[in-house]
Amino acid sequence: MERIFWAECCKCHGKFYCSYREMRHIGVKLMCPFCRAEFLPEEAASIDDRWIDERASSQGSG
Amino acid sequence: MAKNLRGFVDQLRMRGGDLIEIDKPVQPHEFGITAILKQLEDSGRTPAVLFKHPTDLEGRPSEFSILANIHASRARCARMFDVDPATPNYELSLAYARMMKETIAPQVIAPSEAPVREVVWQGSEADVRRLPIAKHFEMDLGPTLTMTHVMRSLRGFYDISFAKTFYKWDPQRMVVSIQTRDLNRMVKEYEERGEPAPIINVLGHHPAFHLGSLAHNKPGSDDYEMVGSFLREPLRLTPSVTWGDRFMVPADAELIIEGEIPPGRREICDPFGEVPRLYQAQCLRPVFQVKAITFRRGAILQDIFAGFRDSFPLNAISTEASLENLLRPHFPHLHAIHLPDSGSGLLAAYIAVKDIQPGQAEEIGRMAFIDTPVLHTVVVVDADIDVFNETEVLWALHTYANLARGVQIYGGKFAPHVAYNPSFAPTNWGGKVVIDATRPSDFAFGLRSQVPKEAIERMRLTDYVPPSNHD
Repeated sequence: MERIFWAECCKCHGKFYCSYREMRHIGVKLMCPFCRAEFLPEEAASIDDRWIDERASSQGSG
Repeated sequence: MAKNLRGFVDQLRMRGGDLIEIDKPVQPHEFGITAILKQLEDSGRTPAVLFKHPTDLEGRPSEFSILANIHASRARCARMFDVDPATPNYELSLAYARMMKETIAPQVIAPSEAPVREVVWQGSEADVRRLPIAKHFEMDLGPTLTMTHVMRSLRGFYDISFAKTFYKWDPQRMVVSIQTRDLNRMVKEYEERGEPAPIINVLGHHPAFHLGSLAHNKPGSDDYEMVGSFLREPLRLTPSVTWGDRFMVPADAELIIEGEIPPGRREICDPFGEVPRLYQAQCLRPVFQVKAITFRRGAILQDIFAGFRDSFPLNAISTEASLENLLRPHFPHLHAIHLPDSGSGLLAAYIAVKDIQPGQAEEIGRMAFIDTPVLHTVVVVDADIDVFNETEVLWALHTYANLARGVQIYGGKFAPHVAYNPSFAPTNWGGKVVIDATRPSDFAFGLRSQVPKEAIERMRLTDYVPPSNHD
């Protein structure tokens, strides 16, 4: 599973999500799909980047 | 005449009932297409829909029409391959499986004979804002083209794959979201040389071209030869406007955008509502620099309603066929395979086998996961369970499956195989499962109740129930 994070637009407060690996900490501006505002993750009105424990999700009988 | 999209639309038109033509203007970039398709689907209707008067991205009347929902019924997909539409289930998958094993060499024709070269826009004329491009879903980044793209490997073969191209509020610069292994390798080949990679977007062709392009073939095989098998005739090619005979394009396409991927450039792409009915996360993808737009007069631009019925048979039929070719040599008693709409035609497989032996369900599931890594759930049932009837499959699961020992859960074991297809990655979490829902045969077990077949044949419904009461 690809890790994602939710971002809340600092202008219109629309919420959308992004690839964690490609967008969270590399200094790239996100683009709000609702108002096209561009902003860094740190400038988002809010961020939800909670993640599950990979080990817990990968246990199986096989 | 070579097979083409408008010929197929004419066939639908003549039959009636399988095509709705909408004369009123619609604004595709303001959800005008998907709002209609969603309401049709909610009412249980799955016709192909031709929007005859869409606007372009600037809100002006477009010279192109838009065709959507073409794949939303398996019977219509059967017609694409000249398979009897009365047998649209596993018979169609078997026909597709046979066509996967064949190739037909393409035929080259001069540009002057190529319908797709009737009109050529280059330079400032090649402006994507003149196209009617749909915005599909609420959180989509913007209007998006959803049909197949073609690239040519430096090793000489062509690959045809579905990809999305996003409008970026620029007349000639778009962004292409490539998800398939072959296309990604080709982008890398050119980037390693520091050269722009030629790419075309085929926005309309006979539906067998697009559906056939999904066949799982060996890496390095030529997709132009492969789709000929699905068209049942040579695919006609002609030199491109931009690269001449160094890059051949489908001559009978409705509309083609020729472009280049500049090496190393990435721009914001997504979200987009993908086939599993989840949005693809925003990410960085290659730039698609438009070089030319060529089309037939009165071109029909195709679009896919991803995440709804229009997209489910596309993946289901090609994967059912691939699994048939994979499993049949190992399991001669294989009866039928279906990837149901409930798994978006992508994430779940119901596999029926006659006289299954202990341990075989698990083996079938393992092989299926390796062949089709995006699969999440495999349910194995007996041959008397109709895998195209989900209620029957779930009945077998609830009734026959031994949940203490008939369920195999795999953790991260297969996870590396899904990495190349990130658009479906959000759905592949928490492992995979194989459920043996076959009737236990190693101890005394109950029998499924049946009305005698002889009685059903003797007591014909039409002799006893007025026709108005039939479905």
